Amino acid sequence: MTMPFQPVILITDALFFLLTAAIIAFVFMLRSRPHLKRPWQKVVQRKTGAVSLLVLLCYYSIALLDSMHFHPRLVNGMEYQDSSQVQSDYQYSNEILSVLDVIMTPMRIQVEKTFSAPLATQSLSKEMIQNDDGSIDRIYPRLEFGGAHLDNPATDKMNDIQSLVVQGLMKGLLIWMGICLLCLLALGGLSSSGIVGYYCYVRSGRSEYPVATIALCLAVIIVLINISMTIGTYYHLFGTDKVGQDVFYQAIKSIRTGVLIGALTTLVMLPVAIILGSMAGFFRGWIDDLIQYVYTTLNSIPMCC
Amino acid sequence: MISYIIRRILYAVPILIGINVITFLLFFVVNSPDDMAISQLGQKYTTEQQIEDWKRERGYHLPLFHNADSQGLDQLKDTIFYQKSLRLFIFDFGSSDSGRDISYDIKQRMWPSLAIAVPNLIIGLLVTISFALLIAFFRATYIDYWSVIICVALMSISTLFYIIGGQFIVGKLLRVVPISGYDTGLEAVKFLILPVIIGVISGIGASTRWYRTIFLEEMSRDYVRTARAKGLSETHVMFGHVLRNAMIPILTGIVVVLPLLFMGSLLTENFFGIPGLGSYTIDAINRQDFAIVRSMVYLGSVLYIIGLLLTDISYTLVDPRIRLS
Repeated sequence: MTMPFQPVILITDALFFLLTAAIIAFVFMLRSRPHLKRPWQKVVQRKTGAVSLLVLLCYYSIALLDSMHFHPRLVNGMEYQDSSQVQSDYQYSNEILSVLDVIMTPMRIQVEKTFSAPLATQSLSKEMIQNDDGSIDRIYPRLEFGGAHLDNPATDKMNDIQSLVVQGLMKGLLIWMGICLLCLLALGGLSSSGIVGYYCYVRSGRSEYPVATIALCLAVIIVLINISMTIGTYYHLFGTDKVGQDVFYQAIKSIRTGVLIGALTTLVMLPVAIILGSMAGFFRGWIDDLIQYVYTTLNSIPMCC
Repeated sequence: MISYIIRRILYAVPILIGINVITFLLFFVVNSPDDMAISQLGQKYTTEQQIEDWKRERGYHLPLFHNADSQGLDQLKDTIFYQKSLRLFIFDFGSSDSGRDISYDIKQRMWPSLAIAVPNLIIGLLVTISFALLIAFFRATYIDYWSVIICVALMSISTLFYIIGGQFIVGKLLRVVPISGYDTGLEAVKFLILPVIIGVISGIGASTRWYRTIFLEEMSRDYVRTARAKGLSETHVMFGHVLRNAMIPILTGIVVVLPLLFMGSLLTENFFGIPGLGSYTIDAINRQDFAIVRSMVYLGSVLYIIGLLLTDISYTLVDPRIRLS
């Protein structure tokens, strides 16, 4: 009962988890089948292959994080912040959030009035503002959240952004070093030569895998994520849209939709296509003609419409 | 040859019927005339009578397949399927839901679409083929390596980015050409330059990579080795042998899309405000004018089938090894 959230599994989430389980099962299956394992090993042993796999993995993890949905708990009608709040009177919100939403909370809730430029501190359009003495000015009003912590945006903004970038860089590098250390401990612990021996083995470049490239790519990814998160807390990295929502947040949120449509349509289509294709090849004759007819007809209808 | 072409055209008939039935099912059964009326008139404050009038005005009040109220042959003729779908076979598109003649609109809007698509195709082809030849000439060097990287980078960037970026730099900052719009006659040229350039640039990556693969495959063939062994110069080998043979897959790949040039590009025309068939379709989708969308889907399918037909014919023309059987 003390859970700060109530998990929800949407149908698409279930499909995502199924897909993830299938991928993990496939990886485990590879371990016992050398003839399938070899080509994948070759992919990872190439620099471009390893980097592409890492980027794809990062993309997929964002989609997976965005698929873990739950109802947040409300405390006195407010969103749950921390355990110090009054615990007595709570219920669960109707709103469904995902883990990604929680990670990106500042960007999700900092909604401006309307359009603003990337990293802007002022609105894109002029507005009538009434001064204290009753006179009316037409100015670009300050944004409610974007750069709101600055007293004098015109002079301080660049320095502030620079320091945020450095902050994100440092944080990212720290996290990266932590991950590298963990990997080293885990892999070194598994290998026969011990942790130090394993480190020397990797350093000397004798490893079959492009470890340095993978580590560098990981560093770039983690640092980029951290920089955009730190800047995103105080500014709108890509600006805001017509109703004032953060464009960067929406761009990240769209990853799940993309993966969903791409991966799941392929998953649904593939078995059908394989069965029909092999039937056409196996039976030949009128079955082949019929399948080809269906395929040509469906193919001729323009997809974009 | 002629009997082959006739047979191919006859093959296309059942496919056209299939397309007609599918579009009919999609546009009238899945999305019934009542749904269309409600989406046009609005959910609130709409009476039954208004919906009935709206459908009667556009001929959507008839039954789908079978009209029990009519006599004889009219039982089949006074239906939506006969009135709306079968007429597409003779390219009688009827009038749109807002009352305009679709055939007239298509004839008007075809030309701006072609004015973009044709130069786009020709210039793009020249640029990408020469680029791909160059890369193939310098195969397995750093030029090859970096060109492929640049190609992958170019094809990874969304067309939208090229369009908006091009409009911003060329149209807004440099003020060389107008950002969007269209004009009649020769005045139209200044509106066409930017869309064509952007179309070419956004196509370079993918096509160059594809053509490079084709060239490299040709270059590893035995006849190329023989040509070199005869002592022919590398230029002669490249242009006289490799290019000519590589043109077979390239040309046949282009012939498929030739008829579809009429349809225009949805994105480009929409962003540059060009009154072609692409923006016509987009506008119709936005207005939920299903009569136009249905006609455009059908037209696109027909053009695609014509493209397939032309491809098969061009194969036999370009490559004498393929026999008509």
